[in-house]
Amino acid sequence: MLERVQGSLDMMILKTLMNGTMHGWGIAHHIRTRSKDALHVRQGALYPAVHRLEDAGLVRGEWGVSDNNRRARFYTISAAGKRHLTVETADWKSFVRVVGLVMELA
Amino acid sequence: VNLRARLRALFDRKTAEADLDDELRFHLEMETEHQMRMGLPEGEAKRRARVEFGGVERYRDESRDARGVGAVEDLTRDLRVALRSLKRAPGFALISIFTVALGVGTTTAVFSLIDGILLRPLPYPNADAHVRIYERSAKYPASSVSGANFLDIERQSKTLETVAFFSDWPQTILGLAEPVRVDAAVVSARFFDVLRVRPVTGRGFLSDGGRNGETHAAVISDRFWRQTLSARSDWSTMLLHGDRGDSRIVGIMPPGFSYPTGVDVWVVGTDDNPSRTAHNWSVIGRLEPGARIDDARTELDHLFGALKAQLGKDIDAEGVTIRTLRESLTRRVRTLMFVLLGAVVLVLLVACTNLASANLARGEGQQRELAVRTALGASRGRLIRQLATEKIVLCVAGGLFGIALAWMLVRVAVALGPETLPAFATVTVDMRVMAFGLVIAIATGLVTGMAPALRVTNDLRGVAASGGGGAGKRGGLRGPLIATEIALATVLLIGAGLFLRSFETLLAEDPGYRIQRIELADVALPSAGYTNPKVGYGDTLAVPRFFTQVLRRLRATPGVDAVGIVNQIPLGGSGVGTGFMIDGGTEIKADADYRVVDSAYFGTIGIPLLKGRIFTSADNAGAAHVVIINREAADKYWQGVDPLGHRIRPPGMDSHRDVWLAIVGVVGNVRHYGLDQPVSPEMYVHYLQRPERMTSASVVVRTSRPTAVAPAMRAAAKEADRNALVEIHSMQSLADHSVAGRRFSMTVLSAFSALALFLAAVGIYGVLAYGVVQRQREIGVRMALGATRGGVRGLILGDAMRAVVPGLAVGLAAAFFTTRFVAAMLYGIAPIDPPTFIVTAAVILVVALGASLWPASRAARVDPMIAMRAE
Repeated sequence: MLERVQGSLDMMILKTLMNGTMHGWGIAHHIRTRSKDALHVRQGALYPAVHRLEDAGLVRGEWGVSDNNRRARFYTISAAGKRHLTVETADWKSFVRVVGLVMELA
Repeated sequence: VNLRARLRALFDRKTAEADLDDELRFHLEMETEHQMRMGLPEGEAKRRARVEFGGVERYRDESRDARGVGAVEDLTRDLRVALRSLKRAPGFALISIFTVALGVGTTTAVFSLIDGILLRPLPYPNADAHVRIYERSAKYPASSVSGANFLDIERQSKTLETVAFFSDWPQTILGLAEPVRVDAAVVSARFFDVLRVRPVTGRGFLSDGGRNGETHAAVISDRFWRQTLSARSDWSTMLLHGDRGDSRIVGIMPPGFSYPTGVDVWVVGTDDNPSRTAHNWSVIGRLEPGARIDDARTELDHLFGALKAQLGKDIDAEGVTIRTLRESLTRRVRTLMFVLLGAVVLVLLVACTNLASANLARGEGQQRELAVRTALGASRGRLIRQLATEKIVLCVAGGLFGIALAWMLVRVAVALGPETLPAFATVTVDMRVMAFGLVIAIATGLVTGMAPALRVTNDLRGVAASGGGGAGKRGGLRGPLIATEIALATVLLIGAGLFLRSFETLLAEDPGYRIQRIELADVALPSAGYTNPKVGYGDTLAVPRFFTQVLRRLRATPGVDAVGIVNQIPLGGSGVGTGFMIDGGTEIKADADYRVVDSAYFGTIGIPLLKGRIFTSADNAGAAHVVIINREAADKYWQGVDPLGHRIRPPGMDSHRDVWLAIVGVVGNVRHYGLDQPVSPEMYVHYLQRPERMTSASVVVRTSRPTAVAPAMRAAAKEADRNALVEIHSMQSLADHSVAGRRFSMTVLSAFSALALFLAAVGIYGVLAYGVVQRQREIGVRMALGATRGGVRGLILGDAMRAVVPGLAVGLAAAFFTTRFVAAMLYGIAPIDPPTFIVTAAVILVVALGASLWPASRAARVDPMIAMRAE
């Protein structure tokens, strides 16, 4: 189950980056607003996850300048990241469906 | 995998860390701005942002772990943190390093002894196949082998590939600038084949495929060639003029080869003596490949059984005793090594106990700091890892000092114990010994450090809030730690006490002769002119002429109070025994050691006459032969009868085999073979009547001016014959040598037990002193409520004694059950020696009390006001 949660954070980060290049706070903020404030991704979880994805070659990190003119690190999803997201999304959906079935049956 | 990022993170740590901080700070600022946009005031926004932020420390750890640089990175950081926190506790650091150094130093030193003596392979190729073979009879479990029996072993054994005999035979070599006394051995032709060590220059002996090898050939040691022959290149043309005639030098052994121990010249020899009871030879053999020592034992037992059945009383051996070469070389010191190991393990345990209690105290002191770090998000694993790093730093430092200490101790031990440690052993602190020391150090550190660390980090909740070091019920472990230390030190102290007492007992014992003020000149006469070549023993005219002249000259020397001669001086290391018939009998009824003396010998060395008379000038060559026996012989063979006037005949003794000797006197017993050895029956004959065994003898002088007399002794011998070899020493040096092994064990054990006692005292002191600081508040309250200073002192002393007394009891009980293992090494006292136990208990109590006194009086000086305000 832990793996699932970890995996779902990775998945959400990748999905967020489908909207374009973003810095860390942007990713967290995006997830927060999209979930209607239900999901607060703490930095302690976010950055290790992002860096892990970067090391795995699923996202690319680059230093750049933010809207308010400050040095920030921007992340872009890579081709491998997109492929990974497709597989993960399918997995996730079937997982949700199966759990839903079980829960309804029960 | 983004290798570049990882490598960069690893090697360009500063940049990577700065980047991480930048990224973090950026996030924090964005979040703060966001919160402010949402309508919060700046201060609140920052606080929220930080809460969102999560634990700083954990975040960084995890991010770093995600980058895969955790291990190396953490190690260096843990090291830095450890060093910093140790700098804040220098007392703890010093005590720990010191304790580890002592424990590891002594343990490593003993390990290097054991390694060199018992573990390292012998310096011979495939040495495990080497065995020593002894004859076994009901009376003697392991005696030397007769030549005839050796030949049977050599001819018939199928389990032994090669066998050889050898025997130490010191010789005087003439023909060089000065006569030289060398440690030589007569060996059979295949001796070097058995050991599989060949001469590096020249050749070994020609064995002719069997026993009929060459004769008159000698192989010399590298040392002899370099030192005595000055490394001459024409050595192969040299003849050694030794006691057994001339031998041509045919080869030089490799440097360091020394078997039998100390021998410099090996002379080839054969033995045609048909006697089966002439126990002349040490025998060494090499097992056939695949044969085990038990196979050889079975085979030879069978062989000797058959010989016994065939020969009856002409052979006394009934079987064999076989030992591996290593066992035969190390038998003497094996037990000692195990005793030392046991002692040093006790020292190490005391050191460990000290470390454990120091760590416990430190852990409690650190609790608050650790609690703060936990609150900041450091995981328990991190904290434990950091504490472990601290312990390892201390132990490696202590271990290094310990290895240096071991190096010194080993040098001292080697210097102290040349007679104690087998000569083949190379005892050094090398890489393998050092590795052992470090492993011990680190193990010590982790074992003693981690239990407290786990205990401390187990429950840190609330410590930060309560201010740490609260008045909780801690210190429950300290009593048992003190008790353990006391118990260990008690066992060791009793062990050392037993060795000390037995050494004292030994020295207090009367050996039967005078040791002080006796100077000795060991004289060896050259074979030319003094040995009858036809029969091989001393010439009956030349030998007495020489000694009579020496005696006459010395009697006239000022400073000489008395002078006598004996062929084998007590403690000199040699002795010859013989069987004899009694009163006209034709069968050997008894045996005794056979010594040749002059009439003044007994008075000079202080052997008392108990009955009858000593020799007089009338007992000369032409008179009827007379003999003096010692009390042991009288008690053993003439029990309840007056031995005077009875006659004996030792049939093996040289040119007077058929001559009967009349017993004219009985003298006191002497401890001939060692101060700790039992006395044996002896007979003394007069040198004018039986000089054959006098070609080497000791001139014994009683004097109060040894420095003046020694040159006169040498001069007297040289004057009588300039080819005589003279060596001056004293009875005292022989006595010292005789007890050197015991002195060594006693010294080392005493040192170890003193060390253990010292460590235990330091431990008790440390634990109590720390306890007093911890309990300051409680003590303050007590004093505020009316406790007197004396009462407080009593309280602390009482606490200490409640741990010390049970520890002492356990130690005494443990000693009661374990000292029996050293019983064989003790002299004159029982392993459960009441005085030793009582004195040890008293010493332990006094030392423990002394160590408690200072903390106790410090407790008594606590100022109630300050103590209560302290928190």
